[in-house]
Amino acid sequence: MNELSCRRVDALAHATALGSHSDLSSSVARHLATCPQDHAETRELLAAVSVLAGAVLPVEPGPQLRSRLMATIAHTPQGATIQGQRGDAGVPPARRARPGWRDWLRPGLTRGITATAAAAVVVLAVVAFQLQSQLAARDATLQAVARTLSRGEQVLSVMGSAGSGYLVRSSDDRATLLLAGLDAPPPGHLYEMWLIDADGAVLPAGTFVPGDTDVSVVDVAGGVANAATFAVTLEQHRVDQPTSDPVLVADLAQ
Amino acid sequence: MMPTGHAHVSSSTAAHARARDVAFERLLVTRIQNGDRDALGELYDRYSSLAMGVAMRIVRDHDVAEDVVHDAFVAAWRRIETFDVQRGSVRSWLLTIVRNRGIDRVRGRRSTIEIGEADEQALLRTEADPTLAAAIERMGNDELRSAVEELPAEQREAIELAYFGGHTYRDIAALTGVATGTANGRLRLALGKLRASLRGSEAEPAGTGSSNMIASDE
Repeated sequence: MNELSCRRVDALAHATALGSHSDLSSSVARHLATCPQDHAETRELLAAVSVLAGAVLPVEPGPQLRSRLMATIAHTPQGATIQGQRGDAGVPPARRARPGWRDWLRPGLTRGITATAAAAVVVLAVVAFQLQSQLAARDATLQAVARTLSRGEQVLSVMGSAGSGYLVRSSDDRATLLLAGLDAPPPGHLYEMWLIDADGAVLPAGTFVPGDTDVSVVDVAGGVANAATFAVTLEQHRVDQPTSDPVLVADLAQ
Repeated sequence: MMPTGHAHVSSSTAAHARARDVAFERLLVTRIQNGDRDALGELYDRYSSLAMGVAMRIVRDHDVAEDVVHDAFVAAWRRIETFDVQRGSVRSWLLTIVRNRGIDRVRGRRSTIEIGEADEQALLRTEADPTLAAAIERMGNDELRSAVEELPAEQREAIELAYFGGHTYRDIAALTGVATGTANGRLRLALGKLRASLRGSEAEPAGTGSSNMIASDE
């Protein structure tokens, strides 16, 4: 229901955005959510107010605040648990020593990857040679990877705490993950692949468990044309969203 | 044939860095929504200094500001399911909670775990222009501060009294000794200028190049 007219909403937008008409915030929001008019200027004014908070000078909190917050959180249930996704309500997951998403995605890693890129080309040639020498005993997927390598398709470095490898992107925007010496997952776990687009949407791209051979070759499910980042996490079972930090990451942006 | 080509390597672009940042943030929110307390700690690591900056600006006392930030993160933890990652920035949402809690504290209102007003304001965020909101997310703290500092003094004063002081335009008129219409006009003009400034930043050229691509040519 639109209690406010379009003209009134446009006239109030700046004041409600700034909180100086907070009593009308919900009415304005409801109007904008349902009104067939685009209210373009009003929507831009609503966005512009975010500048104010983002422009403040950062101030470091005291070192004890984080532990105080985490202690509070340990005893604070969430207002509404997402049904079916949380089997251990109230039990914090064990703190992991390995780096988090941010660490893997930071520019420093990218610099590290680029610094090793030239060396990776040489390694790639060796891997390709080894693969080709084993083709007779490999399955069709492996042959496809070797053919891709031979054609000089785009090959991206995949790196992380679980090891390193390559992601081979074919001309039809399919991709194959090629790993050598990947650690076996802990009992009851598997690796799950993810494609993350430029807007941050995360799509599952298949699961795998390394076989007995040194080389693992896995087809990535789904096209990679719109993906900006490829990642692999360790999961207890196939999930729709990652529940742990990535153990392998590749930057698909170019 | 063996891949014998050379590597094409260049630095990651700002756009790609932002894409990774967005991806990280969305994954973080998903983890918090799934009850992952470590993820909330990571959110704290990411935004606590900015949250403290907002709180300090409002309450002007370090200890009180820490209380405000603590309560805001607890509120975010409790109400994270109300945040729609598809429609807004968790930074804006979180800082709105901090701002509203800070103003509640200054006004002596009881600080509760509920975040009704912050929800209202966050609801407005989701109706904001997504392109402009994305431009703000791309901008660094220095750029955003410059945009505010470029406003005429009387407009900047009005907008800061509204946002950080929680004053209505009538309050602002009384505090600054101008007519209510003038105060209201200054708020609108100030936000309009910020909007124009942001629209300019939308034209920022994206870089080119690849980060970790190894291309082998025959």
